[in-house]
Amino acid sequence: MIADLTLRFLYIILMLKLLNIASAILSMEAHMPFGLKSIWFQLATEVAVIAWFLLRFSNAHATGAFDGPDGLIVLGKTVLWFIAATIVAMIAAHIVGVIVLAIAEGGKEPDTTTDERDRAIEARGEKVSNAVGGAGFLGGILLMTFGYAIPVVIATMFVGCLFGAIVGNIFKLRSYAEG
Amino acid sequence: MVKGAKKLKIGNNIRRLRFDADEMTQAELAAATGVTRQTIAAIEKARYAPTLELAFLIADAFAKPLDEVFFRED
Repeated sequence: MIADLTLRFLYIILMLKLLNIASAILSMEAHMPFGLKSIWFQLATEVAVIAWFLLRFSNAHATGAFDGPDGLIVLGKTVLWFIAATIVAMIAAHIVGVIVLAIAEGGKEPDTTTDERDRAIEARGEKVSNAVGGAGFLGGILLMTFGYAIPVVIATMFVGCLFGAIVGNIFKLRSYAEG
Repeated sequence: MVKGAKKLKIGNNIRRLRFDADEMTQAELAAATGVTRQTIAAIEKARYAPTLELAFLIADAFAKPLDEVFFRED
């Protein structure tokens, strides 16, 4: 019950964050570099996927889809499906981002130039992302030692990875803002 | 950086040098050095320390020696 309420609360927070990101995308300044604009699109996609996963997972968990002898198979399929969906969504977000930005800039091809500062920010963001993703993995193992069900453990690890990507991107946006 | 090593504060004269170079814009300097305008803006405000390679390229763009473009602030 508490776990279900927590998931739903997290879902609402993520949906609000998504609205916040969407408004940031709509008010993006024309002079922002493409790399920076594209981070906003990645962030929106990651938040949408995580919210979608939490909704699907909490519903399936509540209806007992992961219980019984085939429970782990259903769980494995669900997580695999979401991994594939995340990859497809990230590629689609990039393509949509390029098209939207090209339209916003009057049909001009967006300037995708990257330099040493972009690469330094990217590398630091990846480090943060890996650290948070690793913490999510450890969190899942920790939950296992406290006797939590395997579906909750796996979901924690998966959400941890996605959350790592989100935190990494937020770190990159902050680094761009700071210089 | 070695732990405990003092972090150098590096300043620059890019703003003045751009002005002296017929009011060169940040975008023009960026194009001359192969980086984005945002990177030039960050360097100019001393928020980002460029690599030695980029520092030399910036100095070359103004046809000045490196120490006329960048200097130690402490």
